[in-house]
Amino acid sequence: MEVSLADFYRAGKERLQLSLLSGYGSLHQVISEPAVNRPGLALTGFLHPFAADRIQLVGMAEKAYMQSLPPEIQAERFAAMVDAGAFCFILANNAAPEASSLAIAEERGVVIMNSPLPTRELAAQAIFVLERLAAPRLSMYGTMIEVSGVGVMIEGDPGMGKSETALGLIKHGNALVSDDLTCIRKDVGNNCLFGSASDATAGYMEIRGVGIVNVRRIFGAWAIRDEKRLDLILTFRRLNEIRDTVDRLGQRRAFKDILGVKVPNIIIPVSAGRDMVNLVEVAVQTHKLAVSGYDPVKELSEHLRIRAERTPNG
Amino acid sequence: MAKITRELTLLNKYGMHVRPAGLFAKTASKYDCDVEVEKDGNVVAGKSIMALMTLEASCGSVLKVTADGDDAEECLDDIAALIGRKFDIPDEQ
Repeated sequence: MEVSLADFYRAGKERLQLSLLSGYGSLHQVISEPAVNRPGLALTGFLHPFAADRIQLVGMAEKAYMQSLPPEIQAERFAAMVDAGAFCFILANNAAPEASSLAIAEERGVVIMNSPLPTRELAAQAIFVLERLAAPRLSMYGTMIEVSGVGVMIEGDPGMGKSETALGLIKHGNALVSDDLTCIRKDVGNNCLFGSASDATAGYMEIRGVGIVNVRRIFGAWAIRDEKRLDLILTFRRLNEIRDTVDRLGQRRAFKDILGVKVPNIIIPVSAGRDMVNLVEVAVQTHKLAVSGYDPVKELSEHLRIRAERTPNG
Repeated sequence: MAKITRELTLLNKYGMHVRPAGLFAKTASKYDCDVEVEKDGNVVAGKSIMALMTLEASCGSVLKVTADGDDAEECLDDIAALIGRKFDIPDEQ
């Protein structure tokens, strides 16, 4: 995902308590490397290499060093960083930029912001905001529910009863993440995925025949979950389409690859009279047990073998 | 089988809000063909009300509507007419 300075400023304004001091007209610029760099050595004039493509974070040490320099050298060093491609500086501890730097920044369209946060916290928060903005994303057709702590995506053709099943699950005390269309974000650091609803429709569902339903109004605040890790994908398929391939023992471990993350996938056959709410809940519990290492098939096999050994032949 | 794309401009006052999304999805669902709607690179299913609303398309937005199937032509004619009639919503003409 391409991240502009405007995206960063908007997303991080509150969390980083940013004030924009110069370069308002340059916010459309794309941050080609969404990360932060402490300019450190660059202030001494050492610019090869210098991570100019990142946001420059000016902490207490950088500020103190700049202040120790004569004004004309300050201006020279700042201009050299801008020449090298630096386009955005954030000063920690609400420090003010040197007058000469501010003048250069205004003239050349360089963004300068400051924040009351101390350097360490500012760096951590800035990285958090940048990583979220730059995270690989996609939209998936599917309704996502948190079922007893597990993030479950229900997918399948239209009319398979995804939303209706979700509604039943919510009534059983589970929480809706999104209906019909789920926004997926990859947490690159932890190699996992997070699902959420589109801001435009969060908290609403469409139930055929009933219409638009406000889930929070009907079930209360606990029935909504803003974001949840995606742990399991349940695919609803018509039984008559997959009759021959149904895994009757539930031993097959299948995965779906989404943004390079392997998510466990179970196919659930749908046919008239099957209680999908119940099936989903049991599938989730079975998944939880499987993740913890429990295998009911192995246990039952063992049980049958022992019984067979005990029973005398003939 | 035919796959046809048409660019349609929303003309009603408030764009793709709940009622237009409902009418769009209802019209698209009358046909067997697959319908996809694209705006600014976001592609969503044309038969899903919730998905259509996530486009947040306002008046004047151009939607790329793609229909794929035997009745694609009729389906797009029907959708284009609906958008042209500003979804028959009296307050938004």
